[in-house]
Amino acid sequence: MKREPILKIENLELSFSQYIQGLKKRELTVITNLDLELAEGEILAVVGSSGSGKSLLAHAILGILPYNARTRGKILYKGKVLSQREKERLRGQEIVLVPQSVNYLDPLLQVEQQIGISLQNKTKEQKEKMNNEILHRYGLDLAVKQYYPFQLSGGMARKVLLATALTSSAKVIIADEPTPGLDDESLGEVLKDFRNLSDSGKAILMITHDIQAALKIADKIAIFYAGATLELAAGIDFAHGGQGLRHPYTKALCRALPGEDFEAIEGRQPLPSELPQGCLFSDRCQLCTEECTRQRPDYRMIRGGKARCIHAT
Amino acid sequence: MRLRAHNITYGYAKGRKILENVNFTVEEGEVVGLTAPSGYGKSTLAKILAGFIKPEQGEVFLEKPEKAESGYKREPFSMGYNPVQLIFQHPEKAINPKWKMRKVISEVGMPSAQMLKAAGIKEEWLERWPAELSGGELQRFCVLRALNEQTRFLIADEMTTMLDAITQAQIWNLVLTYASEHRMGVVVISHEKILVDRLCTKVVDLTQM
Repeated sequence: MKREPILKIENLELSFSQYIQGLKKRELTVITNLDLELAEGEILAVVGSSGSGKSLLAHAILGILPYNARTRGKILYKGKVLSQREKERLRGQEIVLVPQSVNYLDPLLQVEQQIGISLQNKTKEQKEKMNNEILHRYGLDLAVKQYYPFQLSGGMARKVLLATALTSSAKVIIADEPTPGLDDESLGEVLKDFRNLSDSGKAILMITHDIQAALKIADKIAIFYAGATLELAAGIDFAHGGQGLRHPYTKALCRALPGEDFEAIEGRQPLPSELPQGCLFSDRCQLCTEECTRQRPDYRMIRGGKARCIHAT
Repeated sequence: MRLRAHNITYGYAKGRKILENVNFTVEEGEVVGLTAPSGYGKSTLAKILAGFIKPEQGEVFLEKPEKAESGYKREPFSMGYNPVQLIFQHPEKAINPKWKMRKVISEVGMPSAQMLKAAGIKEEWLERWPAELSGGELQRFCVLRALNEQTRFLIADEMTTMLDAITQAQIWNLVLTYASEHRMGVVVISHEKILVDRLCTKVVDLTQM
């Protein structure tokens, strides 16, 4: 069954112009080839290491990139290309963000008011009730309502950020690293909430580096590396040591999990200023041939998923 | 060596104690996991063990197990090299943004080329500013500068939480190899149960204390 995607990203490219010396400028490309599709009632996890451009993706969708950023490619919402003005109208209403950093909480708002932001057109009693409900669900004491952000621990602040977004009535939820710092019990609670929300028709884009969490709930997983989507896989592909996976990077990632071999390959993700001309993973890949170093491989369909590798089968 | 916290009590707000009469011990060469839900004072205990917070009650000792009288009480905020090194979740907050990486890493003496290689640090990174490296790369520097001969205990407070699986495995392999070669004790604070089970010889649950 093919559902029409509510959010679609086609060949997005993102670059920053930087002053390097005096008035000399350079263009630094941080996202090179990004393709995503997100349907209603679906959870898509975007998994990638830090510095791969995951958060920038969220910021690009919401139109909150800094002034020196330039994007090419298309972001479509309900089949229409999103303009900056459209993004500004939709954000907070139909598309909400669960921000990555705890620093996004307003330092001068108590928790109660903070969550209240997304409950603006509710009565005072309704607000109070929903506030209490969500705090209770995440195992937070009701006294927390009166706390200011500096009084919260990392995990508590994370829960408040989530509560703020999860009580809103948006259609698309973009969660940027929603899980670090959460204990097992709350993590389970949060993931269950995401699943329920998506089953009720919302589309959720979960940006994370935590594959374990992604595997628990995501319908599809997009693997991100050095600013490009390298693979689109289903959760089941990761089972049995990642036998169903397609791209060599994803396979290496799977082997490095503490629940698997905990074995690391050498090297690191290239920085935006040192991207190779060919395949982005070529310098760490065992399958690398001369052809790989010449040009970037296309994103092609393989066994119901996608991979950007000429050797993938 | 043994790191021992005795009857620690600490609270941030009046009347609300996060830690109450907590006892905690790590032997040399041991890898101990410390788990609890958020807000139970894991990071607070880590800071007390490293002497960055003075507990309201209780003391932290560094001692030789075979002769307890040889031990000494570690006063918080003591001068000199701290044998209990703490590594935080966010490396960018633990590095001076206005120092180049060469200065950051050589603050306690330049590590050998062999150690740099083991940590996966490239020579050219040393000439960069912290803002020009990613979180995973900065965390390697934070770990490596703590792996000094004088470090007897390393406390990893969500050390690899922000990193991808491959970088996480790289960094932990480095730390565990070093710890077993130098009989260094390690405290692992993490929410990730699979990781704690994988790394630790013993796991302490702070809610059970």
